[in-house]
Amino acid sequence: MSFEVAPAETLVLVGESGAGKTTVLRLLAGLDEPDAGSIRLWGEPYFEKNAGVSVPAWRRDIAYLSQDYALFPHLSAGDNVAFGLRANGVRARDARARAVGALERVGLADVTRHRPGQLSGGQQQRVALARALVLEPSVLLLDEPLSALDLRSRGELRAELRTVLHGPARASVYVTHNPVEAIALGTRVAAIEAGHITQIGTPDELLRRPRTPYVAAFMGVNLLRGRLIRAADGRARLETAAGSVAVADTGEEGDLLVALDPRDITLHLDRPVGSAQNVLRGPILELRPEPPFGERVRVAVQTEPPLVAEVTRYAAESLRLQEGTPVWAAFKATGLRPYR
Amino acid sequence: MLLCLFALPLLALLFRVPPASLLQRLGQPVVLEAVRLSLLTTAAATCLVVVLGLPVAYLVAMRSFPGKRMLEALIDLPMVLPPTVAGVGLLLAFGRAGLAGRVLAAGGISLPFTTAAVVLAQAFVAAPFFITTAAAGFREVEPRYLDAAATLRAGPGFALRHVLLPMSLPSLLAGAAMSWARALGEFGATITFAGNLPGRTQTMPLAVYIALQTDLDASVTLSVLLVLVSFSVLVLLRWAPGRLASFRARAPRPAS
Repeated sequence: MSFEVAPAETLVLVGESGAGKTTVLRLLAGLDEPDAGSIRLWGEPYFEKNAGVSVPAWRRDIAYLSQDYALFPHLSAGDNVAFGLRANGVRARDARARAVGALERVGLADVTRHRPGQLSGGQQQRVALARALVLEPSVLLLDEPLSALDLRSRGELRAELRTVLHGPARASVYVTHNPVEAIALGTRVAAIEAGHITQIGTPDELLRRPRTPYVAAFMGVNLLRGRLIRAADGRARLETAAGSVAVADTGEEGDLLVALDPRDITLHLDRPVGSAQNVLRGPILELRPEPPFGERVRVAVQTEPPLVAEVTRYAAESLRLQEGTPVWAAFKATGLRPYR
Repeated sequence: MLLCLFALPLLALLFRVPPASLLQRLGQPVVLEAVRLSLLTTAAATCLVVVLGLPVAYLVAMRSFPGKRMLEALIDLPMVLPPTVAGVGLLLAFGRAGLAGRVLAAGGISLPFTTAAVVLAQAFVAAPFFITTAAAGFREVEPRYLDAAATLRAGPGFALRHVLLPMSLPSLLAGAAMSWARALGEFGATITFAGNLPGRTQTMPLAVYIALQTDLDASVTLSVLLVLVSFSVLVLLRWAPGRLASFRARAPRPAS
């Protein structure tokens, strides 16, 4: 696995549980040691297996926000924030003043003297953020910082994190399970599968051109993999393992991928007659309301190839879509641009 | 049945001396001397155990190294060893002809049959109680807090002083109290290694045993005192940690 993060950039790591996201952060922070390879910050080696270099965590210019915050239970919020400053020789009075300032910036001036046990989850998260930022680290590592929060504080904090992460001269690495966070906060997104980066790029690139089934599922798009066949009439078809679809002809040939936005698929009870070149038939496998409020519904259809379409709840109700209902799925070929 | 076995000797002790005369008997020179010496030596022994035991507890709890299980067994050994055996060992080591004794004698220091020997004997038998409890306390501090300290650029020393020690403080105090109570009751190693010199090495348990033949009342008075003190320590240990923890979690720091 190899990647670089530039200043003012946020790299979002996504992947299934156990894929190795947290491990990557712990290696960068210096809490665990890799078996091989190297870690550098602005060219300074933090870890270099061959040269025997391993800078301990506490000497690295890297702040790490763990998933569970790990606020010290025996210290007040203010003393938690002042902890890193005190450890680095800042005098008690100055450290306290800077800690209060850092808490003010996250909107928590009034809980300076409270113990972590007296704070709500969102407040604890803000204290942990202030505690990490007060040291003005060059690198900020965040491990699912919003996963333990309720929906409302999640939205608020996500907006705050946006301003923090895109601060100047700070490179951030952000681990999440949540596509909304990945798209909102990431300058680039890296998908980790079984310990390897399978795709890295801007959120837009991952959305438009996912390379693996996991990335496509994470971004919520259909991914078809197959062989492009050009017919005599000049039309192109992608032959997948199960069925084929008409696609745009971009001159590419061979084994290609095609991404299909579920919102570009229309569902019909009768065979539609229209301009869409692709009209496939199959029973509905599953209906799943889209979070958070379920105003839209994802419909998995057992066509060949199998597809997921997204329609409004109103449409799903007026068509009386149910599991097992046979439907027609229609989508245009021109929107499907094959890529490698 | 078992409860009777526990309760009867204690009741017998308590009923032997009317509470009113207990205070009066405490004034007897033999009793006073023994109490004074016991307080002095157990305080010194507890300090010694804490200072020397902390690094050992840290090592055992936080690091892994070859021979760790052997070291742990060695630490527990004084708990099961007959104290007289410990006394003989100490005598052979620190006596005039002993391994360390010869070195000390060259410097003009002789340990056996001194108050210092009492402290050493008490520390020897009491150390495991502190080390075991302190190590358990260190292990209970979740690694994530030490990780957080490290990523906040706190060196090992700062993390030790401001995270590990404060977070395991209840266990450290409990361990110190346990080892103090054990030191207070020390008999076998003391009489073997330090002898029985009133005012110098005759601690309360020794005085209890000696006075049994000459002054039964003094013996019983000291016994009652030891029972009360030991029982108080044990009650305190069960009551205090919860209190301490909830106090520390709840109370916001006073303005400074």
